[in-house]
Amino acid sequence: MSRIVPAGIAVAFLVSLLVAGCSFLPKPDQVSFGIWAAEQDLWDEAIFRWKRAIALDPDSVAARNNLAVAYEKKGLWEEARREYEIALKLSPQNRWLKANYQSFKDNLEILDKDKGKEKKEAEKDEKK
Amino acid sequence: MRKNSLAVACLLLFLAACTSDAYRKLKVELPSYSPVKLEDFLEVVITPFLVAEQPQGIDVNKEIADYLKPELEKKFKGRVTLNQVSLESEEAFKKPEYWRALAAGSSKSLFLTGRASFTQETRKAILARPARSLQEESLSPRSGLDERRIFTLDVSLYLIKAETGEPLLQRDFKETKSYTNLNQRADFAFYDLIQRVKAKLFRLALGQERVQNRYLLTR
Repeated sequence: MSRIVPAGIAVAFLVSLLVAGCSFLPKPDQVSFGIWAAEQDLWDEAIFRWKRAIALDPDSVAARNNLAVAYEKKGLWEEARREYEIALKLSPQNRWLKANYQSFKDNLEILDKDKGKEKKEAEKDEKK
Repeated sequence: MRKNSLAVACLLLFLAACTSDAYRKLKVELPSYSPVKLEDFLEVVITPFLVAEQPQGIDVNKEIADYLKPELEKKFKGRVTLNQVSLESEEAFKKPEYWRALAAGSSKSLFLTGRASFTQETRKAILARPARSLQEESLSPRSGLDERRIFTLDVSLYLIKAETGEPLLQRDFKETKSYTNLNQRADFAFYDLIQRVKAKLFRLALGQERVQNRYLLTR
């Protein structure tokens, strides 16, 4: 009996440690659900989840980054750019976010080039 | 000693419980941005290119048409036709009225035209650094100068909307390939180079998807 009590206390202590550690784990929230949906190629569902996550926490870098990726997937370039830029303001040093944004910008050089052309042509027309 | 090991075990347990990846790497098929919506058109008309230079025995215009027509037909749901009108100068690309007249009322057409130049030359090439030691020499069996046959395909491509006569897309492609075979046939080299141009053009014009890595953040 005298041995069982300290052993029980030790087990209880270890379990409480585990629980405390687990509390740092991301809970199955909107962000993680969105990731799960994206992994199943359900991008509309993912967008819905990440928008909800942003509504709950507008400073959620994860939700904004992920939403930007989803917008890229949908070809919604301006929306993607907006989300990336907000996320970068919130977390300028996040290497994964920066990597995503760099790839996005590389893809979008063409878009900017075309927009520049359109703008120049519009200015020309105005002058005429 | 026993107390220390217990503390370490506790720490490990705590860390193990709270450790998780901050991101998920995902391969995503992303559409390319395209200023041209091909689905809005019923017909693509391949119009002869303005050819600045071409090797003897090669008709660049014919090669372009022969290659691009079937390739476009694979991807484009509408008709792909050839037009034999000959362009006189580059000015034509900037004359909307010229293209509107050429369309003759078929407003749902898209002209594919441009300027092309296909050149070949022989260049001396440095094969490798001069070997510094006997060992290096044995590793690099060939060094010094050698000759290469270089082919260059320079294409300035226009996609012009028949309805307005305005270019929807204008892109310059310059593709070069070198061959160790000095007798490399120009038509084979042309085929190699036009394939590269096609890949880039289709990505632009059709907004073809490409697989890229993206990181989804978990927290």
